[in-house]
Amino acid sequence: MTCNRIRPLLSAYHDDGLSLDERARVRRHVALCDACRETLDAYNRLYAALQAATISVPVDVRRNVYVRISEIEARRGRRVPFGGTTFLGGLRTAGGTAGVLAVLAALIAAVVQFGVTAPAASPVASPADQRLAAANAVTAVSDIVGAGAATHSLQRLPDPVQTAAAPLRHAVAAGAAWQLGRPHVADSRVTVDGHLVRLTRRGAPAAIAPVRFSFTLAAQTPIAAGIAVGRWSAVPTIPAGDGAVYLHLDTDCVFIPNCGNSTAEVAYHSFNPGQGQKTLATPAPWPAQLFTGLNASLDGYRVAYSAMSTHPAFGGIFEFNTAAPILRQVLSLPDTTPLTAAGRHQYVKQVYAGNDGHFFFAVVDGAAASVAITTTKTYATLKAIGQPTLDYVMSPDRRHIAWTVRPGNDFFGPLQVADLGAQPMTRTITASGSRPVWSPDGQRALFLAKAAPGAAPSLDLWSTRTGVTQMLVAPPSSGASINTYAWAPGGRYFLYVVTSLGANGTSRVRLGDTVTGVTWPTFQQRYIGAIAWVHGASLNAMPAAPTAPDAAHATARAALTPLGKATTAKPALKPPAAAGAGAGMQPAHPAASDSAATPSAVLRSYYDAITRHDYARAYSYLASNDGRSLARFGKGYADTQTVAITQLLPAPYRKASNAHALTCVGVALVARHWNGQMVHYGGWYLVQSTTGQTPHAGGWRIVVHGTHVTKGGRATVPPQAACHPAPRSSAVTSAAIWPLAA
Amino acid sequence: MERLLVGVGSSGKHEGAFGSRVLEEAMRPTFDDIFARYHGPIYGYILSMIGNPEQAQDLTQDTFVKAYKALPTTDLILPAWLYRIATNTALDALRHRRRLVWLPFAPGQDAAIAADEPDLPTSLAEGETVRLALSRLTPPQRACLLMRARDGLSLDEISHAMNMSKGNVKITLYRAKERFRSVYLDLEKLSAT
Repeated sequence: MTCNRIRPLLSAYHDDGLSLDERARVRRHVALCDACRETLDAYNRLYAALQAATISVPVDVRRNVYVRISEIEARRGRRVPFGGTTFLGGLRTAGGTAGVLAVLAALIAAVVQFGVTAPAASPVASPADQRLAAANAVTAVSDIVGAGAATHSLQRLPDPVQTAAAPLRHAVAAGAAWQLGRPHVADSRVTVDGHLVRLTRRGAPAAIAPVRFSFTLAAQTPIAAGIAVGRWSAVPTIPAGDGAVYLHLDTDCVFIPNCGNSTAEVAYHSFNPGQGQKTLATPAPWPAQLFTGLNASLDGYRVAYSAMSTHPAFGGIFEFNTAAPILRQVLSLPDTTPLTAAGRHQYVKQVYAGNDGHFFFAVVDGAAASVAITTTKTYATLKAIGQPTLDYVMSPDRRHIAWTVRPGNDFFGPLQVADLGAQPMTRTITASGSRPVWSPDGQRALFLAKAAPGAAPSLDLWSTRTGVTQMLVAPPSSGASINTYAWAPGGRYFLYVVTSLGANGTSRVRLGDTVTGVTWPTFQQRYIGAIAWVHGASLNAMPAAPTAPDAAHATARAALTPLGKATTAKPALKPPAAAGAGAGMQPAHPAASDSAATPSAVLRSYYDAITRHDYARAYSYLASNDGRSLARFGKGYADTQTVAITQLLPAPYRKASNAHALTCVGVALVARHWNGQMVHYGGWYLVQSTTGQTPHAGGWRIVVHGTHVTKGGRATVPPQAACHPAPRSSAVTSAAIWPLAA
Repeated sequence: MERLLVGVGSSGKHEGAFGSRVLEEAMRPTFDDIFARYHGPIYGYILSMIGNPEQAQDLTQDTFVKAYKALPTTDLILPAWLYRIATNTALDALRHRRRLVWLPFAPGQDAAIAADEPDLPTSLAEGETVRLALSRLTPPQRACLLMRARDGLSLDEISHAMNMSKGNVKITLYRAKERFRSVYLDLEKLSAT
């Protein structure tokens, strides 16, 4: 066949648009024809050039779209554009994914920009090597992280450094690093190992400062040279509220069946070194045996997991919300299907908390898998499939499913991914993989991979787009293994846990960057079994003492949703740890919450002050008032004994003005009056930042006009423009703002 | 496994992907999901089509507002459905822009602005080559090429988004690649000198 006849097919071949027959024909021709192979190469380069263009999205797009939508909805006469409208169908809620973008923006802002590099010629380098050096030198260097003496991977070169003869695995490199503005060359060494340029630093830098470094690649004789100029930052700026929520066992009995009464705990640990950690709760209000599926929601504000017990009556899905930091049972699972049947283990995998209060998860056992969604009472399942699978995990965008086929005793097996897109297809990622975890955008998955049977597993990354697998974390040294990992909400950073067992065993939590491959330590804890990355959390807002999850909240919560009927949980047994601590409920008076650092915190603090009848403090959280004096404000709450926030929905999008930012926080409240009456309220608060105003009053304040909380209302977060309901009269607004006085 | 993985066929009809009607509804992405997942790619796509950031922002907003309106009544085939809206929005804008450009000129002056394509500059910044080479393609060629190369849509998806037959998409892509290649190579040579 001639080139002319192949030519038009070549393009379609390149776009994967040919029949099997045609494809084979083209492949045969291309194998023999240099010109056509060159054309294919050119097509590939062309596509690569188009993909390489990076584009930053203006932040206004989101706001403008939502403002316009709220206008459309307002014209249609609907009050709340994003409230769930139909059962399961109306999965729209505001406030959901916006947080992802906020974090993404913060993380992107944290990525350091690099100057253009200047290749320096080495007198002994051949022209080819000079080209190589120049190519390597222009690669940007990303964050250099960590403190103290350490070796850091500075840079991933596009290709392993190699000579014409053979790959040079361990090129010796002479290099230096020094802090900008100082002539002093730090006590550092730059080396090259394959495709990684590393910096070894012996002393801790006096201060985190931009660092300039250069390196010269050299073997026995110098082969190439290059200079790269970068900045050296501390750990990538992780937002202040970010941290890990994890399940851990503080006992030697971990992973050993029938070994005494080991008690698991759910804890939070901030990534911010100044903040520390807090034990939140026992994971379930009954003796649970199996905790699985721990997973953060896409926006990172909520964490959900399942707990199963050997008792067929107990099992459930629990949720932790950073805005209302108590654990609560959201679903009682055994109502329909005992998940722990005799001789057969079923697992709940990766529970995704949706924006609307529903939860997605997969149920798998050795013989079947299904994807499920929670309803108010139980969950609906898909058809089971009849093949031994494990780790059946659907991507958050619901375009891919990953699973392990025919897992062996070590839980490893061929790892496959199904694309549920327009052309359903199944691919095998690796012959020996385990435990895939999808990134928030559903485009990539972390998984454990074994290079050979019996080898220690490494943590690998696979991309749906490129189909390429890349090792992120090498197998830890003997005795330790990577046992759990999770994505940051932005989808760039991840965390993983390296656990070693035994008397001195511990779990070390490390953070990593999928772009640079750099990892760094954060904290360690005894035996972490499952972990998730959350943000928006504040240690101050968390309960002072560990509590049992409040199954009663499931009822209260379900009553607030439009779906109607309450979930009936069966918290008959109390865990030993919580028996003495107020029957599993929150303590009546935990430590005072007095923080206006976040929109959610100021509301929590406001109602904390009301509950303590500290009206002066509550009054101080207002940005303005409706003309009432403090005395009148206090009188308005005279009938109110306590107020408990049952639901907080922080809205990540904010409207900036010259002086401050605004946001809405959805809230549901239960007020207890002195006469014993319980009244539910719901709606949203308008909250504004005080930045740029009085310096002593940093943080957020409640804006009276624009707040909309009504008796029997539902917690909701309208788009920004709808934070200001048009009042029919000022009296109505006032009554709505001071619900508890009514 | 195959039984489960029957997805959405090119006919645009759900072919019992998950058996359960309730679940099918539940699996349907929400507007928030769609916006979060696609607003970046769609903005990039429109920007590459149009070349003007301000207008691209407006058109991205238009696209998502249209998508929001159409969402409840649409048999969702993502991302083709969304790209179809974006493509129509962008192509409309390009047509409109041409009209606006032509208006102020007297008929005799057509030749003066016939160079819709910018002149080749003497030096090029990073990324500029791609932008210029793209501007030399016809809008449909540009749309097909961007969807395929930049955003990784399949030929079936592009065919849906462009409302073209698959064969037509192949031909358009072929011409786009050849044209892009020749222009791009010229520009690269130019920037190398």
